[in-house]
Amino acid sequence: MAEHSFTLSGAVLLPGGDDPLGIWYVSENHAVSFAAEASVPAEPTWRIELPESPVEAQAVLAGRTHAMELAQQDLAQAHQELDRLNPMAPSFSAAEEFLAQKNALLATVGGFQEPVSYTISPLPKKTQDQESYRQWHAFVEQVRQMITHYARIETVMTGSNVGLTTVGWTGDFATTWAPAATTTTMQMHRQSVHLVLDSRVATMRIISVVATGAVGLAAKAAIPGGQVLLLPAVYKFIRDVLKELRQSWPQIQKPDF
Amino acid sequence: MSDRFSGEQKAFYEELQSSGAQLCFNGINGATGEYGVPPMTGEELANVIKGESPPENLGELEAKKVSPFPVKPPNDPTRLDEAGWAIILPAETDPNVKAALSELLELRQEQAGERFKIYEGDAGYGPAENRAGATQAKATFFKRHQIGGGPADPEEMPYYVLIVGSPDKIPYEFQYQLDVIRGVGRIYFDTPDEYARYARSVVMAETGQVKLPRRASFFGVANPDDKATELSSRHLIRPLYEKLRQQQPFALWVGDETQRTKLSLDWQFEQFIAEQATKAQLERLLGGDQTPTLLFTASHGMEFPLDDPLQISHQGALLCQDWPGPNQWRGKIPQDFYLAGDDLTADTNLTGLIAFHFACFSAGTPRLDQFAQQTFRDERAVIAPHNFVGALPKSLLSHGALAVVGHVERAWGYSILSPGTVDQTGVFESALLQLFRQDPVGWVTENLNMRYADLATQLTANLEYKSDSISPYDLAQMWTEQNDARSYVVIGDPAARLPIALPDETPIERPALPTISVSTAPPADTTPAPSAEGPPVESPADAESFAEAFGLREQFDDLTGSVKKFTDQLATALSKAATDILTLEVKTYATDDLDKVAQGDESQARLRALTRVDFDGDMRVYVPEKGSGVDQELWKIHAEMVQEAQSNRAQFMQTMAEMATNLLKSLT
Repeated sequence: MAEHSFTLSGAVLLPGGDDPLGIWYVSENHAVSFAAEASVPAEPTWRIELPESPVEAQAVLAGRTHAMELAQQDLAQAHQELDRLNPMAPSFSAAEEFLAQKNALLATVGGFQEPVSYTISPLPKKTQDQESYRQWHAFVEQVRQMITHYARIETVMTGSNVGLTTVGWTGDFATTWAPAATTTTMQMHRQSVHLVLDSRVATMRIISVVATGAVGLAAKAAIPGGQVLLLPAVYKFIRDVLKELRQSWPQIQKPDF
Repeated sequence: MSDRFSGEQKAFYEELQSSGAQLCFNGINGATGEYGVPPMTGEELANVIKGESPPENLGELEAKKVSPFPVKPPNDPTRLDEAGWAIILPAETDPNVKAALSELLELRQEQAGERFKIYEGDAGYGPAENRAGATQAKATFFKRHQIGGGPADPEEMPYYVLIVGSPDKIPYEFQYQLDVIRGVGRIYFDTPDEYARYARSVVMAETGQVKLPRRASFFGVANPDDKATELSSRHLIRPLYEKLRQQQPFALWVGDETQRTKLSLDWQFEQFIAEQATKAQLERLLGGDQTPTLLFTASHGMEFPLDDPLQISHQGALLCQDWPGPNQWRGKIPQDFYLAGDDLTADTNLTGLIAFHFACFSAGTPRLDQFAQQTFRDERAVIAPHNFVGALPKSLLSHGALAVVGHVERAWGYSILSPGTVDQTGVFESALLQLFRQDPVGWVTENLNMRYADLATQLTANLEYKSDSISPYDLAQMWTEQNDARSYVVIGDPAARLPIALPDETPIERPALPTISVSTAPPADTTPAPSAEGPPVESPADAESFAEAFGLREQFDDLTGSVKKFTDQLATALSKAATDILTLEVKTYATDDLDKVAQGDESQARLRALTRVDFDGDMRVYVPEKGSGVDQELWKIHAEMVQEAQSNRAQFMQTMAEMATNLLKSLT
């Protein structure tokens, strides 16, 4: 497949963030935009670069759109796996799906379940998994920026700009078309806009899934207030399950980054 | 057209065809107050249908159409000792569930004798079926157990089959396919106590402890300005009530081969239509002083978007006359307008009741959309976090009802009118007549299965040989009817029958349902029951003490701080949204230099089209010109962007509100 890319960038994004759904390459290089480097847009910018051939471009776009649908199904499955997880009855067989991810999450939950003794001897200090902690922070920040700024969507075909759409947070659209835009390329830009907006909503849903999962686990494991502390570990679980599920995607839908 | 098609129905159908009128579906989105599936024309629907694959079990459907005996002769399908009775459990099932059903299992074993069977453990629904996938699971199950196709041979597998477990463990597709050649029902509850209570109510009904008056109620909502309920009240509830009332009394033969006696059963019928079909009235029919023995309702079923906090608990709830219709009511539908499972109180007693609900999702919801997404895309959309049984039928059964016949997925008001084949009123009429004569509910629903077989094979043949010549309305009608007939399921034991007092017997009113508490071992693997209220929350003081005790105060404060900052911003944004979303604007510009526009030089952009949609639905549109006419190319893409914007706004706002709610829960 000819060269193409699906990139999310923006000056407001924290470095080190990524897309847990596996659809977008999150770039720390803020210059991946139509805009010149001097005027790098602050808002999150989704840039879709498609091959020159309309047939190939359409195939690339259709493949990524299908990948988005798979990612949404995967998120629903990961949510379900999380809902089923019961720290009080963690009896898994070797054939259990996502065994490693479940064990890792339950180990974190178990760490908080040790009896708390209010004696004068201080308990040994626990440590959060720093990487999970960092990833959760970066992710929350990414989502926060997504919903408090305009979404900017740019479609490019082999260096030629096709269209630029900004979507306000209340949903207003403004689209500007390049002079060379044709019916075919305009349709591709519209599909790009649809893909971006679906991605944004699915990304927001991850926050909901993580929050409800953390609350549910803390309740099942009877950990008072543990839900906040469990957020990074639950997010890691969701990321890891999504990553594993992506392995079964058809080759054409797998992101190439 | 069929002779059975009444003049009024025929005229209405012809009006639909000639006017290109839109097809209406029974389902209202509780979060938005809009139709679950937008109305569409027959042509639009026909285009979708032409792209569909034939059903996986086409062979069995064709066989059923030709040879309509569901049970191998000479076995009598209404006798359990001849037809047999079985349960299917998932391979990994909480042993407490089976233990809780012991009273029912003992009764059925006694009734079915050697034709009683339990498919559990390795013989249950297990990894082989899961690997095969939902559509091939039935074939795999039959192959593993060496069960042949065609009419049910009770020696191979009993005719009555009760699936015990969530549709997430044993999918609806398996149930639909098995239902073509068996009488199938399903139960799934959140606790062993509820299983035990259900088992007890069936046993009470079948052992003479309950003998109810022969009373049936028909409840037909007709919301103002709403085509779907107008159709169902006018062409389903009213004719059903009238036809059945006129056929009284019904004959029932009792006794054995040597001495048979004919009894005349007179039933008392009541109907509650339109303004009488309120939620308050439905509450009187479901546990109040007017609770009948058989209840038939037709209404919209509530539906909620994926991840809506009310989806699990209220999807499929029955929308009553209290909803003033789509023109007079915009926005979220309050529970005052619909009856949900959690409206039933602890003392609601429905022992012996069988209910039919013609409403979307009234029996359950599949994870993947059967329809809407197919209209617009290749893949089926995820509409629920997992397959689930509706909370209303679960609640009805746990309050003593014996069975609920309802819809998984959407019910199709349009399919009530059926000019080419057996009409739906006739199918329900036959089913109810059999129920009045005390036939088991799983046998009674054969009427619907026959209709499904007939329609599915007809539709496939039409698509295969005549797809270009057949009228889109005929195709749409056939497809909606087929879809409608397939998705009726029984929630409850398929061998359950109405416990009525016969003419020479004195009715025994509903005894109070005993409180049953089953002592249980911890469940090994069950789908947790989602709670509408959410799990118990701890006070922040507890949380802080906890974090302090574990030496995680710093992380706790940091995480709490970032979540709080986020939720504060969300709350501000959402409250601001109340004023900002009064209009939606979609603008289309053209430019000679997109790079300059991208760098912020908006003077380079020329506005070519503008659409402004007001909150009340009014729309102002400025159309792009080209020469002396409209620039059609630009106008088309602009119109598509307007659609995209409208759909995005609703989804975005809702997702944001859910995110805020869920994050706040993590802080409490």
